[in-house]
Amino acid sequence: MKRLLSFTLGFLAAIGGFLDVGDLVANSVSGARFGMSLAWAVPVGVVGVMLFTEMSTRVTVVTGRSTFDLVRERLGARAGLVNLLACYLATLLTLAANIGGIALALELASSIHYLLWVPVAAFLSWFVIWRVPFQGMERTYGLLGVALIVFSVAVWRLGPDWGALLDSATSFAPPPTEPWPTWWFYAVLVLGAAMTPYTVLFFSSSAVEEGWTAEDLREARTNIFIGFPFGGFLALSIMACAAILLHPAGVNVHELDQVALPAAVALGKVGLILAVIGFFASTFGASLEVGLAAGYSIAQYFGWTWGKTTAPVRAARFHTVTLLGFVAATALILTTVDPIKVTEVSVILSATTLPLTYLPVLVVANDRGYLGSLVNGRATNILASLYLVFMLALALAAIPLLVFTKGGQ
Amino acid sequence: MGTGLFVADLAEADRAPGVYLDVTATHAEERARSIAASFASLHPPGPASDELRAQLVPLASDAVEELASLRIAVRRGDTAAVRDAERGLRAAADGLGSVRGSTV
Repeated sequence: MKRLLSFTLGFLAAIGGFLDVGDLVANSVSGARFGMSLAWAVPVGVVGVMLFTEMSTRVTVVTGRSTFDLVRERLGARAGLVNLLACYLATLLTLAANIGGIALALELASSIHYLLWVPVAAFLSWFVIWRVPFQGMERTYGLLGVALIVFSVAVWRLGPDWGALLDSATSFAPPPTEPWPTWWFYAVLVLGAAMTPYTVLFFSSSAVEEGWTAEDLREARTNIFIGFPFGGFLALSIMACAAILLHPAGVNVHELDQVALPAAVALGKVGLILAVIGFFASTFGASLEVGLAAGYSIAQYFGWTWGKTTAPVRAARFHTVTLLGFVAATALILTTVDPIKVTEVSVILSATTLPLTYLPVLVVANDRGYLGSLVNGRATNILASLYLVFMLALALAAIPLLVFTKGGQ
Repeated sequence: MGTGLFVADLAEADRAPGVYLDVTATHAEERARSIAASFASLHPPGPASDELRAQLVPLASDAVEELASLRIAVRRGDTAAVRDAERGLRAAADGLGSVRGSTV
């Protein structure tokens, strides 16, 4: 019974913890502007992140080593450094975006300007990393994040024309008034939001920290293969809400408050409160994961002692780098740069670094010397190779699309 | 302006907390003010654009004023004033829509 409860909690946490500010913004902005025509990007992204997260978790469970440790070994110190810098920059921007997201959620609940909440949000995140045990940390925000299911209920309550919604979802083309490059830019945004590199980094590092064994791998796989698709379902619900309510009204989404509008229209105060709780939980949880991922990547590359559960006196450099990540991200948001723009840029930058993170994972997952009987199967390799080609195309297209469309204007 | 209309509907029906309506109305007003100021500062590319500019600048200004009225009404919890602001917003939206229709 206790094990079932633990499993259920972990599973729900995987659903609630799947989304971050990038998913909230990318799916709502896309739905409001393009209807459901970018819905395909969500399952494509979810399958990609499932595939590589499972792979990296399997590698970690068998080898007891984390992603960047193996990246450095496989790519060599110089190429590994380029990889590290690109991933660290993307992770730092993602951290800034999520700290901004927490502050915006708190602004919605208090009407106090978000800039005043930014230092509070950053300090709270760092403090939780510093003091709260791993499992309690993950499960609290993961379970609260399930509140975002309010968007699925809102879709039903808004009473859409399901046929028209399905037509839009299967159109694979922008509405007649929108240009193709802008549509592709937002496709990269939705895909990049689902496949953030920090997810892989955090999952594999926490597997090392918590000493996962082959038995834990089964539970992790269930969370990944069932929890992540449910998380993707929440992302689709957010997109559908915007497509049903905001798209016909010609409302373009620029703020987090607009993301919550469908929940308020469909379900009133209760819906809105749940949406804001969900925003807070998902951005707060993501800031913990991203903050740790930033510290993990540096410490693992340089071979320092690392670990959230390792006493600061034994892992001083790791804890200092993690703290400095929070300071830098907070400083960026306090420059008054628009947090939603930071979110969009961070997701695009993350998309450009995806092959750098995923390629070494695929290489190691094919090494029978490391993995033994848990080495990748043929089907996994074919699918992963197709994804790598796709991600390379995304990575090459992301920055030109960002520049050409002036950030999706 | 669409966001402002949703805020007005929610405020009239008492379907959202005041703090949320306040933040959302404030952001909508700030965005509209920024867009109106950006458009007003643009130099018309030719005499043919002067007429369009002459139509759009006052309409955009009206829209900003109505959003400001909505923000004030929402903060005061004044439902009658919210209704007035909503009417003004719809008029401004119709005006902007007709200009858009005539230029397409």
